[in-house]
Amino acid sequence: MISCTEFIPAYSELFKFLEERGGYEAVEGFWNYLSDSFLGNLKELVEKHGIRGCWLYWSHTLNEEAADFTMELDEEAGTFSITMRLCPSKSRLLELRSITPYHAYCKHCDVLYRRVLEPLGYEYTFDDSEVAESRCVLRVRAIPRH
Amino acid sequence: MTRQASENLYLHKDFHVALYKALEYLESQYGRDSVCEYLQQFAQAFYADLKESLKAGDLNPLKEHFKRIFELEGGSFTVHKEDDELIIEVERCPAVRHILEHGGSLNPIFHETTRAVCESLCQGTPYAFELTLDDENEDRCVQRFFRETCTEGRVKR
Repeated sequence: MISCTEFIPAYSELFKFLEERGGYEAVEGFWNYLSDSFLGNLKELVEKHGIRGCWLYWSHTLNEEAADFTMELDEEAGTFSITMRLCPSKSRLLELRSITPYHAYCKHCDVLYRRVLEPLGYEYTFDDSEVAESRCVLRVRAIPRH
Repeated sequence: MTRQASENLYLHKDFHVALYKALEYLESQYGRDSVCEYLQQFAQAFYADLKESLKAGDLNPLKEHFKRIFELEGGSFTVHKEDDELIIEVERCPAVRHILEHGGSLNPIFHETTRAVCESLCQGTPYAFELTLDDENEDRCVQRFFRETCTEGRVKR
């Protein structure tokens, strides 16, 4: 068994494996597949609860992944954000001696969640300027309907 | 909501489903052999320390590794070492159990996360690996690491 605590290095190595065979397009293709097949719960929560669905989804995942973060929801303003002070995935990858992280590892968080949220009418921004320090900021904003 | 990493245990079992879907995708796009090749590549890199222990003829680090991950994930298992042989009897695999509870059926390709990984660990060492699956229960198996004489690692049912 590959433990779920060992998934992140397996994930990063898979990105490398795919890129070796099919280029970056192959990695993006996998990310799109994963977004469509694995994030159904995020889609359902947002469809049912609006922007609160983001809060409900990430409350579960970020606590189980033992992240160091601040999450904010303003339902009236239609905004949600995650300030990741220490990403458990990226920080663990950077600590490994035997594995070098995939060069665009953090990009998967941009692709996966954007693909779910934008079609539902939300603006999604991902600040990856500090991913080398395992930090990032994710923001979601409900686009007003006219 | 603000959390520090120390407030929570790092254990996100949905990652088993993510890995499962990744293997299914890899098989559909590039074939079964690519799944084994990927898992071997991962094992060679990530479990390099365990491999070095096997090369030195020491099964103890591997035994401790399996004990740690199965205990952490709440699996039902026994691990015992007899002379130069390590046997892991898995009565309930937490990974397979989580996948079954969240998707129904199990593509047998998932067993390569054990077979291909453990065979890869043994390559170039004095040891071979054998996986015996249970026909009736997808989450049960016996894993055996033994000093190789003339038998190659294989999957038995």
